[in-house]
Amino acid sequence: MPSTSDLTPSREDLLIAWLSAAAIMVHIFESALPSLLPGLKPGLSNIITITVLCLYGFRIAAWVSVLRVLVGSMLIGTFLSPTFFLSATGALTSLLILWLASLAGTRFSAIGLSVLASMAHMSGQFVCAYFLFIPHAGIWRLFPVLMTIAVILGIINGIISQKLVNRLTQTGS
Amino acid sequence: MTVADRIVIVFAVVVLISLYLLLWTTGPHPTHAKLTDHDHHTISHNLDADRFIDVAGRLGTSKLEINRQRIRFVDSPCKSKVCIHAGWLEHSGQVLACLPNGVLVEMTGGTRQFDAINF
Repeated sequence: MPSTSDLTPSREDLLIAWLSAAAIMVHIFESALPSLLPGLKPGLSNIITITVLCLYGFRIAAWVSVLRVLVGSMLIGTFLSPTFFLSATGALTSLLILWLASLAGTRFSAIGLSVLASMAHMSGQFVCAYFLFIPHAGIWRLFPVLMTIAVILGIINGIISQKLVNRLTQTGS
Repeated sequence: MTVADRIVIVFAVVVLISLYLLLWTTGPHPTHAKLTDHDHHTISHNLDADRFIDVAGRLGTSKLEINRQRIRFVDSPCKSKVCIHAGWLEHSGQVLACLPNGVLVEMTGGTRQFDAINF
């Protein structure tokens, strides 16, 4: 009977581990940035999710995104805190949208995917914030503003992802 | 940028415009002021008629004034008079209390807005 130490990680496991490590690094870096508005983050770690989605497909991107939220929150110390729940709902909603978008094949480039993910992330977060933390209709007044910023950041992150994807496919790695 | 990307961006702009229209247009004004006294009895007062209202509190009688759909404390037996200095309430969802006297006012009806914003 093989013990757990005998498990050999597959090529895919190693890939997920490396990519998750990169995403976690960006996640932690981002958490150190000051925030202008509550609930507002540049979503830099989504660049990694989108890039991975474009290069390796949805399954690996989902692994990287979920591992990033879990491990990232444990390292920052926000695991199971309000921040964690907002971040987790956001990540899951955007994964859902990305899954639907990935069914359409390669019709979307990184820019379209990033905008969709960013809007889904913000909506998911807001619904979570409304039901769990601030059950006051007033928070929806903040929604259009944050959504506008989400779209703009989604476009910027999408352009960065697209450049990453182009560069990585050129070098052939 | 692919055709699908363009569709996504057009979709995003449409969503944003409808969000602003839906959530940022000011709704109707408040219709009632809900007054709660120190015994937790609540009475809703219509804001249409301008008048003065007396509310029995823990220390004595608080006097409130309704004027042009707004309401304020004009007299109160409390020491600090914070309730009077707070001035008029005119938006739905706004809340004002005279804590020493145990009197609470809340604007209701219409579209509720923030009573306070804290970051």
